Amino acid sequence: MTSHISTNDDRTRTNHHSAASGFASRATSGTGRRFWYYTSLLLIIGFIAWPFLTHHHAMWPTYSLLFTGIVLEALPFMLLGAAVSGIIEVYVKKEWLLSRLPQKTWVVTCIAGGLGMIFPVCECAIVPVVRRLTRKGIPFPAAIAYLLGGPIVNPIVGFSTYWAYGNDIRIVAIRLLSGYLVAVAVGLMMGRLFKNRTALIDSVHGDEKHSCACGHDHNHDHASPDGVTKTRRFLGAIRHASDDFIAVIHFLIIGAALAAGSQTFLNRNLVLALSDYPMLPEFAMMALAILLNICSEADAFIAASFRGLVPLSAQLAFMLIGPMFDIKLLLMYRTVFTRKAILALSLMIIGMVSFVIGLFNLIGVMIR
Amino acid sequence: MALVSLLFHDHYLTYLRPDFGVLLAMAAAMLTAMVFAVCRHQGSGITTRPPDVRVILIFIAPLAHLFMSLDVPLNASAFVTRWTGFHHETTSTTTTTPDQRDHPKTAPHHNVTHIQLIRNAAHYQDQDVSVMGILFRDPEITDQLGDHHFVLYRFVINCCVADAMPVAILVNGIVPDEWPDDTWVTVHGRVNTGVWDGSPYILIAAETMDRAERPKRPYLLAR
Repeated sequence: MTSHISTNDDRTRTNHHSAASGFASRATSGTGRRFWYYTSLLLIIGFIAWPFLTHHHAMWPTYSLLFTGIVLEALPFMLLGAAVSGIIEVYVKKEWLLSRLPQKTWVVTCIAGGLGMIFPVCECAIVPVVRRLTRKGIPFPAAIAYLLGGPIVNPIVGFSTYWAYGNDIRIVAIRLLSGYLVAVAVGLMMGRLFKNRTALIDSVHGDEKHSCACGHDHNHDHASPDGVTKTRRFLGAIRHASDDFIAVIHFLIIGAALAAGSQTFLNRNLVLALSDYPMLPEFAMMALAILLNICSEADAFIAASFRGLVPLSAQLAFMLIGPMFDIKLLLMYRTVFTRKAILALSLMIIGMVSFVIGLFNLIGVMIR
Repeated sequence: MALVSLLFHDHYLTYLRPDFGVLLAMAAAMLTAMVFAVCRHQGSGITTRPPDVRVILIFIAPLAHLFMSLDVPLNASAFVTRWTGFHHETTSTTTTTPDQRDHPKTAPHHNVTHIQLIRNAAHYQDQDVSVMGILFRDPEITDQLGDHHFVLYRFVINCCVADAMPVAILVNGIVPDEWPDDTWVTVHGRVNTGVWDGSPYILIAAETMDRAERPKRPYLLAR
């Protein structure tokens, strides 16, 4: 189901399976591995049985509703992202892609940060796409910039923000520009911190002979123009799409389960209790964005609902951080980056968003 | 199969806005294509390693939760955690909108939604309207305004239930004790406005109230 190995490339096979299962590399010792395996198995079984045991309780059906809603909302976009990923794998040659990119990494990174304006994607769909582009060899900082910038710097998000804030174009401009700056800055900083693509997990490292993990080289074997091969290439693209989908979807489901918990039990008035203190509303709204996991196309409406209750900078913090970093994304990033890289990425995102918000407040004070 | 069932019975409207029907249909088609491609590949005799049982169980988890939440739209428990007050809702400006053209001032008890009322509060002042919503006896409101005041709320969604926001109006009227919170109610009455904690709100002085069937589309749409 998760793989289709047709050669003796053992390294490729191992890498692919570790990405697809998502659990294989978590425990090192035999006892620890068994303990982790059975504990996680029990937790998952408990989670499946839970709605049947608690359906009479007031809160838990709401939890089930929210959990299912988050998964259903993300599912089509993730499938779309996986489909694009499969198409890139089979139809886009690595050499072709690399030959068309500018030589200087910072230039590619700056372009990638705003690529969402041409290829708009939400945060659920972008993970498999970036995963595949990274395997194809696009520079690591550029991959980060597209990963973070794509879900914010795109016309759909611009439109929804415009709508949510009563047709105020200034909010749209501030959001998209800030999102772009954060994405590019974090991309470049991550590139400086992690040389030679050490931030990537093995299966997306891209330094193996073939960019695809199924063991044969699509860029050559399937290039023949006859009809049968075209069909095979198409099926190959779908298979790659399914691999990427399976590799990422279970992280999405786990993330959705956690997010639904926050959605069900977290009282939003807690944020308002902090609104009288300097900078606390900003951090509270950032925490709220991380916990709620709202799609970037809808988060402006939630942020706008806090108008008059928290400062605009806090609403902006909510709209900036959510599409880049939340519980669901944190887990999905595991399919691309090492734990160390995810930790660094998370800190940099929070740091850069805080910096931008601080700057925004400073400019506001100066104007006044 | 679950997606197809959701689509055919419109159950997905409990979770998502109506436009998502097309996206879910696409998702079902893509999943079918993926299963076909993978099965065809496996049928070619190539050996594959079986997936981790936990991954399979994780795929089953949303189905279990889906099954238990099929006809349970967001209710008072979500209202309590999401409601931040009347602050942002009402506007005193009156603009010429299609809503108003559809419902001229002279029409008695015309049906309006919460969004129509809130966006055109000044227009509906002193008008007789009928509004459908969910009943909630907010203890704070009954403490301050008396037993005959309750909240009539709906949820507004943009994409899915995760981004649902409650919109609420106050109603002054006697609710039968046998109507529990979360009952769908249609209130017929006159629109007034007031101020609560410094924020404007809409109050309907109820003349009559009926229990209502939960609508097929339980949520209002932000756009």
